[in-house]
Amino acid sequence: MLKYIIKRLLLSVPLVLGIVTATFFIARLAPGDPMDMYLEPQRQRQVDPEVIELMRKRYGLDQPIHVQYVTWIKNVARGDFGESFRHRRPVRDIVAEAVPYTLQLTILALLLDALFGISLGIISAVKQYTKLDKTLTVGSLIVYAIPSFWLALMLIMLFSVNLGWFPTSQTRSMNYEDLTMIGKFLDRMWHLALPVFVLGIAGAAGTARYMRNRLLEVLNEEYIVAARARGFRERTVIVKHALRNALIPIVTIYGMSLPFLLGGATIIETIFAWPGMGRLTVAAVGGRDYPIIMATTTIAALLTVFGNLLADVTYAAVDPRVSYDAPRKR
Amino acid sequence: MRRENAEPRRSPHRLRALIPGLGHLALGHTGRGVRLMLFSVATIFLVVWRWDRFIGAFSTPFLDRWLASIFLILMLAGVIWYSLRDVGRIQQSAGEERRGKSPWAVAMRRFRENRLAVYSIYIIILFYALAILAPILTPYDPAAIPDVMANRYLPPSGDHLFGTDEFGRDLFSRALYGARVSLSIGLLAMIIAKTIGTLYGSVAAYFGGTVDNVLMRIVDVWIAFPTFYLMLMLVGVFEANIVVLVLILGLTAWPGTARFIRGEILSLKNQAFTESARAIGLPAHLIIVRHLIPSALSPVLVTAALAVAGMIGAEAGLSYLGLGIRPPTPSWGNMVAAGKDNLLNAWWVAFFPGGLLTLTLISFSLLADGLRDALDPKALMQKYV
Amino acid sequence: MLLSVRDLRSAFFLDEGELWAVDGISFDVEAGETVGLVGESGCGKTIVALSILDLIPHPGRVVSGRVLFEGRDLLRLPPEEMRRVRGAGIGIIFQEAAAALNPVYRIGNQIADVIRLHRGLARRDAWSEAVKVLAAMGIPEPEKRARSYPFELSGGMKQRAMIAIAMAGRPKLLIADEPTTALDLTVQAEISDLLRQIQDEYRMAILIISHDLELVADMADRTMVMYTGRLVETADTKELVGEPMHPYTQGLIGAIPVLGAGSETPLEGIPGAVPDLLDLPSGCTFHPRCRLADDECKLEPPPLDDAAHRHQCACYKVRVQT
Repeated sequence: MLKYIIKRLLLSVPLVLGIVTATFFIARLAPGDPMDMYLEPQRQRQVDPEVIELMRKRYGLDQPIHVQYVTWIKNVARGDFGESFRHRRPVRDIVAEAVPYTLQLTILALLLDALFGISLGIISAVKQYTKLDKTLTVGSLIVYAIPSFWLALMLIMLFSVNLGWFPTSQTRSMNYEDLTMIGKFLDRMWHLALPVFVLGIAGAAGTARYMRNRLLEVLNEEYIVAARARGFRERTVIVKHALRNALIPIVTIYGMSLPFLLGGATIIETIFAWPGMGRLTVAAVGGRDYPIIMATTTIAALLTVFGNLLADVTYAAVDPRVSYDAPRKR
Repeated sequence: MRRENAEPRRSPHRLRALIPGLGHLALGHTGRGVRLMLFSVATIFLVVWRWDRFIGAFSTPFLDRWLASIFLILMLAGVIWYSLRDVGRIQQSAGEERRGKSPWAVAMRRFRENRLAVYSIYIIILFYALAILAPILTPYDPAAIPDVMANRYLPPSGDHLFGTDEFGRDLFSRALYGARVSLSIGLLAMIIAKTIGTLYGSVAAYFGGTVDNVLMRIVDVWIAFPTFYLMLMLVGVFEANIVVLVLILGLTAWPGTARFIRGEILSLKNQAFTESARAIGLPAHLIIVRHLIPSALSPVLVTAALAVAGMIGAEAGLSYLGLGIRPPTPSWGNMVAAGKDNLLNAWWVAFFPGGLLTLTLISFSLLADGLRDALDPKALMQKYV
Repeated sequence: MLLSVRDLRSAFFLDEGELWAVDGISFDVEAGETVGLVGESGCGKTIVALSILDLIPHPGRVVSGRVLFEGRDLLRLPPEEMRRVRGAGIGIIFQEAAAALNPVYRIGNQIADVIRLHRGLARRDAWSEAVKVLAAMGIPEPEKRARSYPFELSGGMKQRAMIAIAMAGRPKLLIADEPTTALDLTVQAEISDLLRQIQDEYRMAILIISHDLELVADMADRTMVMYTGRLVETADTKELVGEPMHPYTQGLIGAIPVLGAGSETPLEGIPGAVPDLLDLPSGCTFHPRCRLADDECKLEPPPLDDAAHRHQCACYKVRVQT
């Protein structure tokens, strides 16, 4: 198993290199002088040309492109993504501040997703051909298709504005500082409720559909008929024989949701003014803050690669058919 | 068409069919007859009601107005042609009971029985038609700003179906024009993505070896970026207008198709029937056309429908964030954004564009599901009989 | 009488129409005897097996008839009782062992589970019993094999493992649905030997279903021939093979190549093809392919009547002769 992991890590290196290279060149593709981008946030000030040259030197923009490229690679390897144009702080710090906020949101959303998605999917598959199944199937399809920002706005309109049950945005109430520890925790939860719900429910719909399909596939296999023919009761057949098979790919899917953990909430974060990675990226795009854009995109892509690795490893661990030395994807 | 057994009764029916729906009613197909009649009546009504705009289009240099009027003509002609052809088909097969057994016929029948899928196709076609006909249909000019103070934030009414926005512009007209933007971007982006993906994947599979390897590595890198992030990055780098946006959306999505097509072709290469086809001398391109296309068609159609939904949704999301289509050009996404700060006072500003968007996305999803159900072979049966 | 099937009818209710896979089948199986059910693919023989155990998948189901096992009608048993019959009273083995074994559980566990379910043994005892069953099925190194997963076994061993699972409940009747079809020839012989052996040892009745006439002829005391959901001929195997009465049976037997017969003796096929069960010919469903057919045959399906001693045949033309 360890050998497999190491081999995969090594194979990922060219991929990682490709990602970092792609980000670099895409950013360089931007029309215009990079210095203009740097200055754009402070358009009001008329800057002395000498200062511009100094800044150019400082950011290494006067070097030929291949030198810049190598510098970029070296910096990324060290985790140094440069300085934000707008905030004048190291990108690393800014990102590090945003990450916990995003994680709060996405981890809870994933839990909601898994809980509802898997159970509803199972129910739907077991009760196939009944009205319940049809309703759930169509319902999950509809929920899945609703654009997240509209759903969020409608829910805000309903629950926050009209009913006043939940706050419309932000991570904390005005009186946050005065609350007790428990109070603070509850306040945070209260503010998390709507965004987590919106994020999780869409995911749950997708998971439910997938789970249903997967379970139906398994239920059509001959070993399920065989299990029934041995005299096991239906519940045993489903739980012990079917689910054990059906859940295998589901597990790996959650392995692949690593990128989601940091990047899947862009729109939600923006709507709820949640200071996470997504909102950071969107603001950076709007403000042409290239270092941040490049940083978050690179991180997201790297996470995808490692997410895939994690998924494959989990798959190998969970499916006895997959041997550790020569894994075959089914 | 064979006419040897033509009974003299046929001709009056065919003449009647010139009035769409009449022929069907006479033959007893009330459902279809009524629908055809209503449709043609609605089309004619539209032409009459907006006669000046309809005719006036031909004297303007604007392509979209020409398109709208020509489309209206085509709609009418199409209904008449379909009515004629369908009546003829019904009469011809009156004696035969055999229902079509070919895979296509079975698929079409299964699809038609799926009511949700049928409704969703109707809605999609309706929306696209409305979008094309927008220059003729809109009650107001979407860009015109009338007396702002008198007209801003009017709730939905007979005058303004969807109400007005903060500048007093009629939101129904803007929604129609927003449909043009959102729907066309979605469709075009999907076409670009699928085309590039198919070509790329075919080339990779055809050449195999190192070429395949290199091409697929590039795909791997591209796929590693989460789609929305990639779009964000590209939008941040390039200024987004409609054309650029279509390109960006298309360019982020093609790798998925590439991988899929490549897989299909490769598996085809290895299957037994390819060897036998080659053994009897069938050239490579015929193998691809006769075998690859039909077997790959089903998943490609399904993913195409889903892809359009995805593109429309992505454009809406980007426009909502202010990074896609920017005002004053209306797009459903940026219209929702315009309304987000006034949910309490002017809920209609965000509600209607978002609602239309949701309806469109749901329809495409139902369509994709319907296609998948109709085209999937019922393998279950074979095993047990 | 161990098993008595009376007028069994099962159908699939599809969009395209009703598919009657089993259309009025009656037969008996005595304790300890081997009965064969022969027919080409698509004639519904597997559905007979699934009907007996009431395991037909949606959109199919048993429509009418009685299945009397040890005096009780299985089709009218409450579910918990039926579950006890499945596996302990009647066992079943399938065509493809690879598909019938759960890929994520070890063989030993799959056998032990059945043992615990039907014979109430504790976990450890059930495991050692399972190993014993594996040994009895002729699997070498049974302790090691019990810990294996299905994908680690060869085709023949998977089949033995499946037979072991079926035997674990000590059933009185074993339904073998195409037990050797998916196997190599040498392995086929091993498996049929194994089946005979366990039948002797456990005094078990076997209902062997197959399109392989030779296999059935080898193993069965009595044989029934099935065509489009109905029985067309039943007799003692020797008599069926030696003096087949129904034109379809004659065709089946005539189509078997005989070693040493020389290249002059032609292989006779049966003209035409098995009809689509959704679109059956009227009357005797075999009439389009039958050389004896006339107008009488197109009206009503012929009943399965006695034609000779312990020999039934469903054909208008044949009865007249006897």
